Amino acid sequence: MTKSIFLTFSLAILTVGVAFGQDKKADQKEADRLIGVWAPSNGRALVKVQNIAGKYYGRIVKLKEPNDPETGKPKLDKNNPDESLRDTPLLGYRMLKDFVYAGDDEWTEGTIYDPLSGSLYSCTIKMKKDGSLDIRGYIGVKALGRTDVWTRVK
Amino acid sequence: MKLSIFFRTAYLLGVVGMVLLSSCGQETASKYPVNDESFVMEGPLFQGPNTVQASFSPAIKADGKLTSATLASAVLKAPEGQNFDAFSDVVLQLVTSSSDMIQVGVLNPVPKGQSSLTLQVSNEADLSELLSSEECVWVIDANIPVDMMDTTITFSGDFTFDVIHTK
Repeated sequence: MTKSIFLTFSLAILTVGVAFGQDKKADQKEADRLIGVWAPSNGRALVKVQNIAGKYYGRIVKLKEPNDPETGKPKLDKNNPDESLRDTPLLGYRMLKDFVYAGDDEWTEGTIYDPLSGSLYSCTIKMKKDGSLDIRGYIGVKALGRTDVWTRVK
Repeated sequence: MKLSIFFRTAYLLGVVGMVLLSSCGQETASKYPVNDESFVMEGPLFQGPNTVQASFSPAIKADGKLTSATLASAVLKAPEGQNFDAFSDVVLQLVTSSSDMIQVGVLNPVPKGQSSLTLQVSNEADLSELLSSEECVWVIDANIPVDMMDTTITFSGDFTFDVIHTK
């Protein structure tokens, strides 16, 4: 009798453990749908999203106009509020940072950087049914932000 | 007589208060080195930005709470007989699983023929929250001017933080 209870109990724990593991894998697969190369609507750049230490980051991998018309040299992050980092090239710049998958096709807690102004905005990403992304940047209140649609390139 | 006792008590309380204040806010500045971090950038490497990571577990031995930390220096070293000519620029960032990624250094352009690169580091980025974590991850983005299909680039990094602990 005791042996039977023990076996049933062990089996139950094992089943819950396996189910939990599968849920976690499914969540990770869902979250990783953000990984890839994306094109913002203005067509000026391509942004590659990758997972680092459990969060999602997007860096500029291609610029339509890679050179600064004033200098003829590769564009730099010349509007960075931190002057010591203004030599940072825009090609390779991580403009999306620190996104966490919140479920329901949404990534939150991240920021988006606008190299044209040197401004950093809070940001959420929502994957739509057609596979494109609603990238919403805002300051303070989400309702007062602006949304751009990004499409997958790769 | 009563007035004298009042003044003496007030004086004593003042002295005790000063001693407590000075001991509570005592700051200790020190250097915290993280040396010989190993980076391996495995090929194929494509033209454009490529990423490499390395992690470390901060183990700062000091009394008090870590109240300030900035990166004082960051030096990348190529293996003997090699250099960093494969890179056109380098960006250094630090991140943990619970903190936001912070850019802490840059070198643009990378000088030709150099076996050691001293990065320009940010004086503004406060890293105390990151260094209080169990594990920190260095993230280096390097732009590569041409495709390098069968190449693996290895190098190491020596980093020093300026840290302040407050008792």
